[in-house]
Amino acid sequence: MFCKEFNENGWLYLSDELDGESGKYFEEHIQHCTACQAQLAEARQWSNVIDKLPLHRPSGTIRKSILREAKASCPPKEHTGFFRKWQYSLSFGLPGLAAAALLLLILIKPWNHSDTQVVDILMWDDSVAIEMIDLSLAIITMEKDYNENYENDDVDFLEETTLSVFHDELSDLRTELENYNSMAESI
Amino acid sequence: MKRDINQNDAIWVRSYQKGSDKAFNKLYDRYERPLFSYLLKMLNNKQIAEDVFQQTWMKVIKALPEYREQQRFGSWLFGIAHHAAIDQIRKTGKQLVDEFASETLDEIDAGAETPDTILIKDEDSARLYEAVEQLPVAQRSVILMRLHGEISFKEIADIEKCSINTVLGRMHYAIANLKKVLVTDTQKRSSYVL
Repeated sequence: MFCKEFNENGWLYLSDELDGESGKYFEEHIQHCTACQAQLAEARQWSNVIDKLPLHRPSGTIRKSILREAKASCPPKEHTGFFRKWQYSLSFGLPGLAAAALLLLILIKPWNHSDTQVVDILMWDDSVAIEMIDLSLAIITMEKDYNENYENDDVDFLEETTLSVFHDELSDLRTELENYNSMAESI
Repeated sequence: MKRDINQNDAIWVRSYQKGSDKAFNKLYDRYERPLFSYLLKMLNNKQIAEDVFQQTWMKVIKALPEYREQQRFGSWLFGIAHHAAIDQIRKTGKQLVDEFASETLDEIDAGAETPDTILIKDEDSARLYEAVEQLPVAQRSVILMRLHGEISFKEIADIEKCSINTVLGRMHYAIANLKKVLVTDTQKRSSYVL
């Protein structure tokens, strides 16, 4: 059994690449096309079988040499937007710094706020806000993924090593976010 | 349930660009096995696959500071590896064209067998592996990028600079040819037993 419709849309449907209208059309089509149903089922089986083929690693020395090169070529650590602002304030001397600190105290009162509120309040300073939003989004995404994987007991999907690396990164980002808050509080 | 790998990739890329070399390790660890397996099956030679794998990552490291997420990191990485593999295959003088290009899709009839009926034993993964290696390069590349690299058909079309219909046709040929190879192999084995 063979249906031309499958050639045009079947694999795209399986890989979730059909847009709204085309997806809807194909879904309606397969409801009454037994050829497409059979081809779709078979395509799924092939995907599963090939997906389970063992994956291979290159030699360990290659990993080391690539990571060494990446470390050597890593761009210098950027000072955060917040730190840049500090430098900028200092370049205007103490009066500038005092004025900036006073403004922060009046506007932010950082000791009373959660991370999300700090992000909202700091919107007036785009560089700080972008940095904070980046960090917060990263943490939210990672926490959600991390919790879902544990809740669903989906240990097959994330290997134990990946989970541990994932957790380390989350912890690093948390520390970085806490540093921001401490800097704000110290003002 | 699937994690949003792309979003995390983007985070690691940005972190590396901002000076966190640890972020690169995460990108590397995520793609090490799918990418190396892709190259190994494309090139059928461990030593050459390792060379191309290393060249690919060196290109990535060089370009990463200027990378601006115009395409997904995974698709970009596989694109670089794919072109390096094709260059390597050209050097060996192998044919890159589809060996079954003269057939139309309707003409291919690989029988009613499904993976369930052809591949039933544990050792069959080795047979399937060998069958994938026997596919013409263009078909092998599509099937492996899609299933190992999770590269979408649209992205494969961009990487290979061809239409999406060509990519879908190659996918179809690849499955049909896998069936042919495996069925023939099964028949040979049965005749030995008899």
